Amino acid sequence: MEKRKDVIRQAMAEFLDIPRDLVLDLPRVTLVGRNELYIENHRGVIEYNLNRLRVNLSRGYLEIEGNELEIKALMADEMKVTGEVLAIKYMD
Amino acid sequence: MGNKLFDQVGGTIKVALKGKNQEKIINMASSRGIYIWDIKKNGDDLNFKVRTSGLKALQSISEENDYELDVREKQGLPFYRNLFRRRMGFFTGALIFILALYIMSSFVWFVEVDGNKKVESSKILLTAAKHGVYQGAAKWNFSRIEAEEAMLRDLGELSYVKLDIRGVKARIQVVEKILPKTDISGPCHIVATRDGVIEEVLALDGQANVKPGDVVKKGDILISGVVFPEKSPYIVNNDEEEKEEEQEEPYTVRARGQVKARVWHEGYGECRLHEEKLVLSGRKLRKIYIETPWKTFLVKGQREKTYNLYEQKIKKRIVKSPLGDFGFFQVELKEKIKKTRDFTEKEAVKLAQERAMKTLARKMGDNTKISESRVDILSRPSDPILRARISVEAIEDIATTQPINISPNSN
Repeated sequence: MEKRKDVIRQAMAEFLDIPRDLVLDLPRVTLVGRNELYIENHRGVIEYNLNRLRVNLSRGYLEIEGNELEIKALMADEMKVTGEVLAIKYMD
Repeated sequence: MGNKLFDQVGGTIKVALKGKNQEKIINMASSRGIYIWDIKKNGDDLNFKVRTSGLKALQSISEENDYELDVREKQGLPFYRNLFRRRMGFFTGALIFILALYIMSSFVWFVEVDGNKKVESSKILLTAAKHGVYQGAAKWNFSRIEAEEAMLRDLGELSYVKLDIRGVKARIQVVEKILPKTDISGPCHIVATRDGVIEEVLALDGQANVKPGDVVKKGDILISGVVFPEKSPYIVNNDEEEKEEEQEEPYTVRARGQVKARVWHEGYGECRLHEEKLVLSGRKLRKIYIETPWKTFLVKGQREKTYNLYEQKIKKRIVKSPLGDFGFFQVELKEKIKKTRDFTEKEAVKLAQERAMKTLARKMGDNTKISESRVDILSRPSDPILRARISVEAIEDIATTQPINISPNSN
């Protein structure tokens, strides 16, 4: 059922040329250099320490590895992370 | 991310969260709309910042979930209140200072008058004071334009008044009316201004009393304003009746005309063969004093140092106050030295003549025509001083008006 909904949405997004993050509730990850990371459409923080940050997404989660990580700002569906980013991984 | 300025106004608090699984609090806070930022792990603690308004909600969340929340640092305007309270004296002093500055600067402390030549400054100042511009007047008590207009109305001698208020100084700039010379309107004679021999008489109005060649003294009537009617030789009277009218009384007119006369001017000049003169040497001394009612202080220069011969100039800036005079004055000494010069006789004669010519030029008017001149050397050859006299014969207009007094006694 869920899957069929997604397929329809995806087809619609393609047909109407609408950005997917709006229609499909996908996260938008912006990385500026290696020190500044913006994540939109997140679903909360799962785990945080100086070397690892795990952010919940609508499907799966995002794991960020780095040094001296700091959540500079946190809002309901948007966050800004600073520190040295080493890796960004999508996990299920 | 929010606005830094609003954070400062509202005040921000830095807190430390202790406990396990601190991510839970982060998520709860953000889902409940408590804005938190600068989240950073510090050992086992989690440090972050929260607005003052969100602190209470955050505290209740952490209490419910058995977390410990410590306030570490307070920032922003509300927390400066303590500082303000501690340094109350300083801030009230600053406030009083600003207030005093404002109040003091809203009065006129100096009134200056500028541009007047004939009208006395005191008269202008008095008129200005009448319309509210005086020393110590509050600026809000008069209107600049109204005062200008009123002063112009009151002082008929002025054609323009500008009141310029700069800070505490009121400057009254005026332009005077240039009135035409008041002419004698009544009957008058034309009299001689100096002795001379008449050269030319041109009477436009009135009766000429002198003719060319006459010798006149200062004050003699040249053209009379009293006219005795004459029978015109060109009009032949046929009527008998009109003959009676010829015995008319003399009448007066305003005499007009030009009288040129030969006059003499003399100029005198001398020159010593051995001449001493005081000349500025170019050396200067400057002393600046500060004056108080109790003592005068020397600020610059040496008090004792002077020259043998000098010229002194004093500049003063004094403010009068109830306690006495305050201000500073500057004394400038310019050294003078004696300079001696020796002349030969020829040079001395030339110099004496030049000097005589100079005094002569001062005596004579501009529009004088010189017809003849003579130079006399008055001193003997053995004299240490050479005296020269220049006599000049010139032709000049010597006419001037003099009103006639018409009173029953005099005419």
